Amino acid sequence: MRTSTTRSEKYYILISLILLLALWKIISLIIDADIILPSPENTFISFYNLVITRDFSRILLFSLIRGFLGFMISFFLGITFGFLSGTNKYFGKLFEPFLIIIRSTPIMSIILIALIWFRATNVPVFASFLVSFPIICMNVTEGIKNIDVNLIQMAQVYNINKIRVFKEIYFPSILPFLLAGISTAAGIGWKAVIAAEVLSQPEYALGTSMQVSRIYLDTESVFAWTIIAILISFLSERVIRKFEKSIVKWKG
Amino acid sequence: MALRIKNLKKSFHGLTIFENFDIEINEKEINCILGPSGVGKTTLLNILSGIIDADKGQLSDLKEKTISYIFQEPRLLAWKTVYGNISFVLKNLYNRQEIENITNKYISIVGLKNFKDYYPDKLSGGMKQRVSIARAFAYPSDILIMDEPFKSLDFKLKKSLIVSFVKLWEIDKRTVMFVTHDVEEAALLGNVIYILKDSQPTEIEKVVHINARQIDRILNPQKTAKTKKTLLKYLK
Repeated sequence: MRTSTTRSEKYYILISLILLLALWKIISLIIDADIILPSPENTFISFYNLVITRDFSRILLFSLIRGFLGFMISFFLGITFGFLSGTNKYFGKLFEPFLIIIRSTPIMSIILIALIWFRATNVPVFASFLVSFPIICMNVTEGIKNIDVNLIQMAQVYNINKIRVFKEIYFPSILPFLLAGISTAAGIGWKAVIAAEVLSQPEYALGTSMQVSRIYLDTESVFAWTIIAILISFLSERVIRKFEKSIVKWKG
Repeated sequence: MALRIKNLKKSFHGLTIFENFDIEINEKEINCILGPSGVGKTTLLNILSGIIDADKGQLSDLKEKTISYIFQEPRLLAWKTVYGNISFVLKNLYNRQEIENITNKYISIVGLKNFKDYYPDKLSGGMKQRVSIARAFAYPSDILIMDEPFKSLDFKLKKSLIVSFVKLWEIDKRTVMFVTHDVEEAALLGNVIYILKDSQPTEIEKVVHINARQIDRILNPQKTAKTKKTLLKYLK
């Protein structure tokens, strides 16, 4: 049953992609100006030309590293602070306003402030950290609040030691929440990385390349870089989902 | 042999639930505590199992006793299979081979051999409760506590769970503390039935002894009906 639903889902995705391409082509024919809306085929030619340049892998790698660094920092701090908020009521109450403030701060403000504080290459790391940290943190807290005290009591009656209670009850209870947080945080963090790169202009960066293309009115390349960013986002989402399925197999 | 609880006192927010309360738990028998809801049955179990502390009272050597518990809800870990849920309570007690043998043995007795690798999500309510019963017996406890484990189940399911339970208990006669508000359950299972009075603090209204084997009672509904009547008279 499961495979058949994913198969039909795949068809829908394929059809909608074809529709999107067709629509894009038609509108580009109507506008008839590559500088405003490049045609799909020109964008793909530009995409190909980008990929074969010498610097491409370096640009991609550096942007990915920034995203990954920001993510890892928010991952570890998010789990730590989320755990503290979830287990200690007072800490949770004191900490919540901080999270709300961070979450409500416009991403551009974060980037502009970071531009003042950090070197160009670190601005995207900071930005992605700050947008994804509250998400992971709040999800971990939520996961802890969702732990069934009845199960903890059961483990106590059966004399299960604290380490095992943590490993076999706390951890699996939090895991689905943590994974959901990771997936959202990775998506948002990646977008923040690119936005920050556009403004901070590190030497090798996807955002920098996008901005340079825009300055030269090379709209095809802006589109091509955007497609690359989307593909990366899509791939990372897929990896996380795969990972999720392999560890949360008791669900569904 | 019996475990004695003497002079038990427990109050919550100025409400005295137990005062000078004495009760005997007969070893290797099913000790049934029958009473309406709100008379402190669960509180008594929580004190016995050490989940909460008594304000006062001699609990003989209860503190050193190991306990297994069949709760009202199955309380299974959603991320562990039937096998995993039962072996969960055995892990620090036995070596791997023993864990495997014990777990498989109890899974077979409760009739879940074919569901060994299922996650609780895929089991019916009755099956889940059977896992919880198997888990309680698999754990080498001195006392087995049951807190209305058949509550809110339909009649047929209740009957089949009671049969599963009795089967296990016949093989492995534990000291059981069984709490219920249901006269039928008490009549079917109890060797000693303590009927609690709906008063504050809680008192024992009457103690009824039944010697007939549980299996015979299940097969002999007329006899059980008579016991039920007696119990109802005292329970009012």
